Amino acid sequence: MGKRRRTFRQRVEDSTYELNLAPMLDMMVALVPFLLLSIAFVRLVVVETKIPQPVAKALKEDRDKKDRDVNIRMEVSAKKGVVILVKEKGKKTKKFPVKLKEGSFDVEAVHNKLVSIKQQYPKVFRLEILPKDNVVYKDVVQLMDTARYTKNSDPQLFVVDDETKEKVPSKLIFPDVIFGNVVGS
Amino acid sequence: MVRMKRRWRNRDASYTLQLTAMVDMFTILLVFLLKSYTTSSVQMATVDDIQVPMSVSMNEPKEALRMHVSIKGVYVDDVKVLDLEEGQINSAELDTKDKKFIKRVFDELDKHAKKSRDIASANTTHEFKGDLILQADQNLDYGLLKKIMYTSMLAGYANIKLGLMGME
Repeated sequence: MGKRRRTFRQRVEDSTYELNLAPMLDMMVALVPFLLLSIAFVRLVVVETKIPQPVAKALKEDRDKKDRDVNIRMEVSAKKGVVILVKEKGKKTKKFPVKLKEGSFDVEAVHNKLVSIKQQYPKVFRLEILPKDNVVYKDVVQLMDTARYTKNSDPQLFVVDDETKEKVPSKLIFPDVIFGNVVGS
Repeated sequence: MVRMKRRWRNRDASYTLQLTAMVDMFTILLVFLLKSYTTSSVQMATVDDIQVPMSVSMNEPKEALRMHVSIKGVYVDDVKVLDLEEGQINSAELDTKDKKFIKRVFDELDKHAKKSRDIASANTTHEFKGDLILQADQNLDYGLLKKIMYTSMLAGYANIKLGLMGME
């Protein structure tokens, strides 16, 4: 009779419980030092470039070529800027100069010029870069980067498959950038 | 009555530790660390105050001989082989006949190439491919790097890869 009846609220409160987070915390305390040891603040990343088969085929053919019909070179000078030279077999060399913009290389203009050249020669993947001795390494890398892949704003590039005559979209401009003046001049 | 009250007060003073906030923090930390976790076997060490340029496109580096070029010197496999004065090479270090040939760098690379070839002759699973990872400071002139690449090529390291910092 002396037993007091428990209210509904009290009964709900009794049925709730606190989650035991201690084991989870233990696990995290063990994991965090391990991951901290394996962390790489500066890491070299991989840019996976899945190339469609016809593009990969065209790229391989271009790499294996000994006698080239088209040679594309990029002369880089800290004073004059960039000059892109396109030498087609039996034809006169075409020159496409890109002057300096406010004292530095106009990377955007170089990129656009390379994209337009690539549209004319879709099966050429090699570009020879010839920087002058006083060009800063950072600029060389920047120009090499801009010559490799298209941006989203660029017109779509295509490689025509020889067998099916099908146009295959490609993001590659000149992925094979080589230093043309290490040996020789 | 007073003693009973005190006992009740002591009971109120006991509490359970609130771990929720700490677990929240650890969860965020764990996600960040898992994202930055790397399993790459190649360790790209940095020497001195070297600042490698950023690049958008790169392949994962494979195990190869490492060469660092900072404004203070040239290092092969973390051993300093040549002093540089503010990124400039002393002309006395260059060959008199071939102005692109750096004797000291060649000797060191040649030593490594010979060692690698000796291993390759004894162990068929090892092959000397002439791979070299070149990490150079972004403010250096191409002229110096050209000399280094030329010398490396003569020492048998013709497959040069530029070690750059990835932009995510």
